[in-house]
Amino acid sequence: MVLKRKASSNAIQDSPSKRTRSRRAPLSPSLDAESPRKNRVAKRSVVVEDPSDDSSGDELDIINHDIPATPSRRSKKLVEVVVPTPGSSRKPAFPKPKTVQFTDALPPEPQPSPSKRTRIITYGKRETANYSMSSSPQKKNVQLKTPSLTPPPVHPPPVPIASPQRSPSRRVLKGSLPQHLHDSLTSQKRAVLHALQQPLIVPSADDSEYSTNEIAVKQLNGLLDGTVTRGEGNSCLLLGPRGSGKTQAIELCISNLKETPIVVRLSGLVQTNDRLAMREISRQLSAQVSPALLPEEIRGAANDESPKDDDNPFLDAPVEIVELSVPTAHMHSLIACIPTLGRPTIVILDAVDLFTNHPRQSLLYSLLDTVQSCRAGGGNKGMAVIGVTTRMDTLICLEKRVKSRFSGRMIRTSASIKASQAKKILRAVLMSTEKNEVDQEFSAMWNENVDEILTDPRITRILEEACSITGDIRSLARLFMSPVLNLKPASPWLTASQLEISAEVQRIRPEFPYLHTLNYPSLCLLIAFYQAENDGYPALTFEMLYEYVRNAIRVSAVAPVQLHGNSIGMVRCSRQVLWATFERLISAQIFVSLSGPSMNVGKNFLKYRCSVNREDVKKSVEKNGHSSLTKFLRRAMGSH
Amino acid sequence: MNSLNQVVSLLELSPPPFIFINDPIAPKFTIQSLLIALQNKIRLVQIDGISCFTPRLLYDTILNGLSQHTPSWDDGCKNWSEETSNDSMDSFLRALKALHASLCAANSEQRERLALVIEKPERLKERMPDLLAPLTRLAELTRIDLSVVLVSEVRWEDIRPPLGAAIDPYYVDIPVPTKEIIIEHLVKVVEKNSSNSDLASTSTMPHPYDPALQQTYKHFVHILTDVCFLYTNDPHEIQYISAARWPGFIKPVLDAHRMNVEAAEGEDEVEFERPSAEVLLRLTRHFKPSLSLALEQLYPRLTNAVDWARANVSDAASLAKDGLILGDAVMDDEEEEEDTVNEMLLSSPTRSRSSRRIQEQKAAQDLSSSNLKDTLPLSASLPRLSQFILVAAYIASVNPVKSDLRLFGRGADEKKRRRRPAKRQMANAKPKSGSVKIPQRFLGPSPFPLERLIAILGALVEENDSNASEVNDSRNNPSDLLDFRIAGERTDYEVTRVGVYASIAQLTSLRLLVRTTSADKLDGLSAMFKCGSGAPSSYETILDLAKGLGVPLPDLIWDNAAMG
Repeated sequence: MVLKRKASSNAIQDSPSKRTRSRRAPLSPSLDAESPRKNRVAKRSVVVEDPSDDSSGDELDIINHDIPATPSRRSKKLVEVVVPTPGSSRKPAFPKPKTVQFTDALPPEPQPSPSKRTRIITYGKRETANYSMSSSPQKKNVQLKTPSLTPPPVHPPPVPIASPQRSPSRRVLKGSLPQHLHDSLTSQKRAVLHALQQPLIVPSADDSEYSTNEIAVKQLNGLLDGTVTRGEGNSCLLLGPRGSGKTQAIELCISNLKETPIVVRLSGLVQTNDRLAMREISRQLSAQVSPALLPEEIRGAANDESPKDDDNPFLDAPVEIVELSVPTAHMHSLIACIPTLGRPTIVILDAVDLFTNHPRQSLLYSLLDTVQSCRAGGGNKGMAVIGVTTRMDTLICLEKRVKSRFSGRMIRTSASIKASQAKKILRAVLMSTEKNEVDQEFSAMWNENVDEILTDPRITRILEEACSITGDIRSLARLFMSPVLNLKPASPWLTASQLEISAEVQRIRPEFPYLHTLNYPSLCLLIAFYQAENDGYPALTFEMLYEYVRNAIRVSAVAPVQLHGNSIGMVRCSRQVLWATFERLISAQIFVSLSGPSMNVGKNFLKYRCSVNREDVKKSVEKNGHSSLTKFLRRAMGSH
Repeated sequence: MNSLNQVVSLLELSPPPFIFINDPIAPKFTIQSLLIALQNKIRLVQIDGISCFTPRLLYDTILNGLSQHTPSWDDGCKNWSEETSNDSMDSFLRALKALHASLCAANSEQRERLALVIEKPERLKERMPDLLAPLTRLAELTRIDLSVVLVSEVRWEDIRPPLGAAIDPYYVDIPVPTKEIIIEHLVKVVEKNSSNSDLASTSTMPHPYDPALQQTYKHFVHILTDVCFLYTNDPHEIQYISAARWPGFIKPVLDAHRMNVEAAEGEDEVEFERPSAEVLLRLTRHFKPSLSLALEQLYPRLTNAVDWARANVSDAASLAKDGLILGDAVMDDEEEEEDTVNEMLLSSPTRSRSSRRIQEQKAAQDLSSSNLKDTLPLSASLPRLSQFILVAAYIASVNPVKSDLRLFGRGADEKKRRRRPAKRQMANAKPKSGSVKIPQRFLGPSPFPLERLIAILGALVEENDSNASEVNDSRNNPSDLLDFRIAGERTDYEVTRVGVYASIAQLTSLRLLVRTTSADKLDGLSAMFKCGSGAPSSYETILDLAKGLGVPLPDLIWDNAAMG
């Protein structure tokens, strides 16, 4: 629905610019045998889609005209559909006569239609892309038509704009979903949402060289393989920005191992000191090492005589450590016997930079020392310590004695993905299905829709923008969540405009998106702050703000202005109501206190600063459109 | 509500590990709607950032809530988990995993999905800053199907832990509620409660929330929302005001019905019918002025709904004037006449009826409001000397020291005191350099030494206290052992009496004055004071006090310039 409104408003607002564009069209270098009128038609469809994107429109045109013409009935229909739009006429002031003229002019020009068709053939490489390119502009045309003065012969949803060679299901793609496919939509949504949460790295098969992450996985694989099969002691740091697939790489490697190792997962966020970390190690070890697995010698080595759970030296001893908090020397000796357990051990330290803050880094020291002194053979198994972090300077944070025990191996993951790669991943994600829960008919349509949407130039632009700033695939996936969620049986297909909205909410977040919808007293206070800043007060007490608002109301009351019998002066607002509003704004942290609350200072005398940008205040008041507030703002600006 | 529906379906289908909902106006309302929508669909626990102020409380609340375990007094208020799962984050994570496993075991056909809805997460950030980052990564740390939903008035950017420790949320912005949503909510609440047996069972008479009155209530809500929407868009606030006003609003209709029933004397059933359009119009006209008064009193919570409703019961006379005594009210007729006579005697004919009614209501409010608690004691309950001290303290707090001599100094030539002409061009006066000087009045009281207070008090008493000067004159006779020859000497003597110091001490203990130096310093000469927060430092209150004492306060304030 949003899309439709947007498109129509574009058609009306942009008409002047469009006019100039269509006039310019004949001058374009791409002009050959084609008629200028066709040019306009093709252009229009592109222009409406993205008024700002000039180049892409021109490109499309060029492609259109390079191609020999082959007439078709379908494309003619397209032209007819476009014609009634007021925006397409040259003179927007008199749309009707022009359109009539336009239609009259059509018959002698059979050429426009062929180009449309040929574009389909040449532009798309694959079948799917082919379809999407041809259909998306058409869809736009149909939607444009709705607000036009002459009602369209066919109602928008079921317009058979699809190319005739498409399967009959194509027809449904534009309308609401038939009843029997509703469940399919729900399960498709579930599947896609699930997949969006763990977008898999799709190996770039066509690239000749490996990507950074693939190299990282390979290196890590080799490292862990050495630990597991050859009993090596290995340590490494896995560095990479957020969301670059560090954890994913480790999990991938562990699942690829031939033998199941003991995996100990620690996180610097949770295990905030060595004591907690030690306890967690002991818990995880005892959960994974069953006494039956323990070799006889360890069982003998254990102090306890009973052949029960207590056999594992890690079951009790570390717990005692927790209770007694014995010196770190003891801890060291306990960690040192990790390699004597029956299986190789992998210790994953998430957020390892936080472990470096622990006193004397004793845990890191013990782990790395054990790793370094790990000798293959002699019944001892290997041990690997993998530190995962986003901080590049983690190595510097290590103490000298710890650093000297660290192998110095650093594996990097990278979060730079290209838009094309991102598209590939997203395509796989969006097309993922749950087993057999989705109707064949539906999934065919869905996949077409996905292909169509991913070739949309607007989406390409969004993805390119996002990829140029962050390569975090998770944040890219997040963009698609809200459009997928918004799918309803009435509007079951993804659209580019929804993604644009979602990109604004998820990625390029405006600071206070709701500002213009705030209530009258809140906006009064914001304008008062604006005025105070003009007067040179960066921080204000409530008393001052109140004084400003009161003055404004008084000034407005002195000269009452009436419009259609209603006063348009500022509405009275009592001090108490303003105070209540003020407190609400504080709790929304729009006003931020400069000092903490104090017993001796009244709340109304605490100084606050405003976290809203001055420009935003201005814009939101203008957007709000409350006439008296606008006047207040103008006065506030004038007082400068 | 579209965004909220999104969250609901997201949590139902496949939630991301971390969702952040930013609702600047009514987070409570959002949470309630969310909880209602997700009831019985997923396991949900609501956590309040205020009540969970330690990690232990937080862990226990989460675990008990998810397991739907209520600690009872009989079994020693045990928590859900037997072992100590609340001593640290990793114990909590283990308990959470165990809980999830047990839930999955109990319910084998479908996977259990857990969700934590955290209200006021900004409080968690203040209290337990280390906890927020692991909380957002809870799903990753426990590796179970779990989603954390933070609902806050504050933006995520203001809460986010440093160093990018927390994962990025899925953002949801709840738009400011529109009028339609508020009306819909209010009507829905009443619909839900009208069938409540507690209300219905008390008598056969219709109660204010009778289902028959639903249409009338809808009409009332429309009017109320029109009045309040400009000032607040919190559905709960408007609901509160509605709860205070609606019973009074509909009372005339109910009374009329009761009278009809009594008149019929049980012979035949009197059908209760909803008020006609005309009656509705009259009710609206009668009560509309009180709606905005209700907003001004109840939205800042100057009083509570019950007290307000009690103070704003419309009397029969004013109701009758608007034609709102329905039915044949024989008994009321005489009273009504009396009332009208009284009112005609009391009120001037020029004043319009409605404005008088507003004034009456206002007067009633003034008595009930808590404003009273601030203002009344100062002017009525304090002794005269204490009032002088408060005025003097205010002057000392607001004026700069250098102004004292010019305001209060009296030379031998009896030169009239001069006050610096107030600079009215505050707004235009740009500072030469540095920051702009803000009048002290807006910055709150500044501390002053005790001697300055005494000196100003002396000047005030000398010039303005007519009682004292009379006494001065009458007692200026040789019988008195003391002999005051110099003008003002007697006042000087009076204001340094022990009684004055005792009054200051008393005012300090009332916190009308605040001692800024430590109290254990016995050396009284260096003690610094300032006006207490609230009433004693508000200009209006002190102005009232000064008027009562005959002190021309505006002339004694050094910098009286207004802002802006």
